[in-house]
Amino acid sequence: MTLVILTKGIDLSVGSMLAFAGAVTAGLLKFGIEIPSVNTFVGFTVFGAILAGLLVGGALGTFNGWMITKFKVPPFVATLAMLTIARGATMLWTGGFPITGLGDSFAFIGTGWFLGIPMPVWIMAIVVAFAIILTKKTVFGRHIYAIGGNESAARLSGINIKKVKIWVYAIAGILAAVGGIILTSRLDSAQPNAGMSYELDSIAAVVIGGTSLSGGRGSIMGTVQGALIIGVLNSGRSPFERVPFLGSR
Amino acid sequence: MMGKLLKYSIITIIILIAGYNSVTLSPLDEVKKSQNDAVFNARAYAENFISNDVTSLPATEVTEFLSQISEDLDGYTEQYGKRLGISDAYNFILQGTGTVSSMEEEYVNLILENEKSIHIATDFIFGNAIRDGSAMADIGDYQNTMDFNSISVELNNIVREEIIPPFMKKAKVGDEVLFKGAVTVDVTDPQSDSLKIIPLLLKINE
Repeated sequence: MTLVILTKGIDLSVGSMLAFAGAVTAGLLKFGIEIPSVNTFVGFTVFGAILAGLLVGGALGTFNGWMITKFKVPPFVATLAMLTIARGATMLWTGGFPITGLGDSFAFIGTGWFLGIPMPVWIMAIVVAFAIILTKKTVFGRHIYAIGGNESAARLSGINIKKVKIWVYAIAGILAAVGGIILTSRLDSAQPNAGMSYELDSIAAVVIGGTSLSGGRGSIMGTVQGALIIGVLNSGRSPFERVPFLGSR
Repeated sequence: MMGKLLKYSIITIIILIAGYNSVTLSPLDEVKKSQNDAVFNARAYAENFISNDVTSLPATEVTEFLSQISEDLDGYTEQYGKRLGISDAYNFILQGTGTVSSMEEEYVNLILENEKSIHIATDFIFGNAIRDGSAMADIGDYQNTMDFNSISVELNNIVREEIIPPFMKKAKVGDEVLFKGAVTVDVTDPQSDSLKIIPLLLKINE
């Protein structure tokens, strides 16, 4: 989300993409794909199912980017549409029921520990490191800041705006899928209504972390701090949940 | 030119390796056959459990249970209760003997040896107390939550249709009843004075 907002965009579909990618991963892992015309059953390994989930996230994100750059649809509108599309696709894929019982090896991703640290923390550390390098040490990263700062100037400087934006939304989709896979693994269940309102938490974390909604300014570490603040606020809210309308969202 | 060729060759090899490790192919008809063999019949599963496993099902004496939960509800339920996930509702299988003191619309009241009373549910047989209390089924073993939930539905149906009616025909105030059944205790609202047992076995001592 930070990369998207840095380009002066927004992605309202991350919660729905998260749910769909998680459901696809769980569905392929549990049920595979039947191809009656060639009498073949395609079963998926944990690696294969995760890869498929990430591809789905990437494809949806790419579609967002394509709609925004090709048809000049405002990011708010394009991703709002994707929010509905991906949620509907999740309902279709799951039939409205949770997909459960995904096995111990898949559960390890969300609930396992490595060197005394939970696996999701390792995954977050890798993603954060990747994002920091991407934004601070690569030409692509500088292009993201340039587009957010002044898109016209960036275009006149020879930056391929469309390509950068499509990549940014694709990365957002892939990372939403990563979240969906971790969530599905933690719950050992792909819920059709998973990730509801996660886009708001995500945007809040980015903004609290100091990234400007006008684009061009912000940092990944700021977003990490914003996410920690949101996490603390969510956890700290729990004691109030016994009071109706005070602790609830 | 050579650089591009090398790049695309490496990408192709990576895709092939990833694909090879991602999927397994097998004949669909064989997979379908094995799936059909494994179609879950909740009614048969529940009937088999009621017919064959109830007598030997480990159970706690109800008097012991009541005294333990009155002393240390949280500790006892945490140590001996069975629950699904992080629920506050713990399930137990109990057994004991009591005397019918009254027959209400929804339950039969039994007075136990220690003068305490419990209710044997005779109406509104719902919930997962039998399935979860007996640990007869693990959610991870089922294709979907519907199969898992249907076990409870069928167990409750059997209790409603086959266990309660013959008992209600014969039972009267003053009868001594031997029972075994499941109970749910919610630690946030235990209501230990009016625990309602879903019966698995009801026998009137002649």
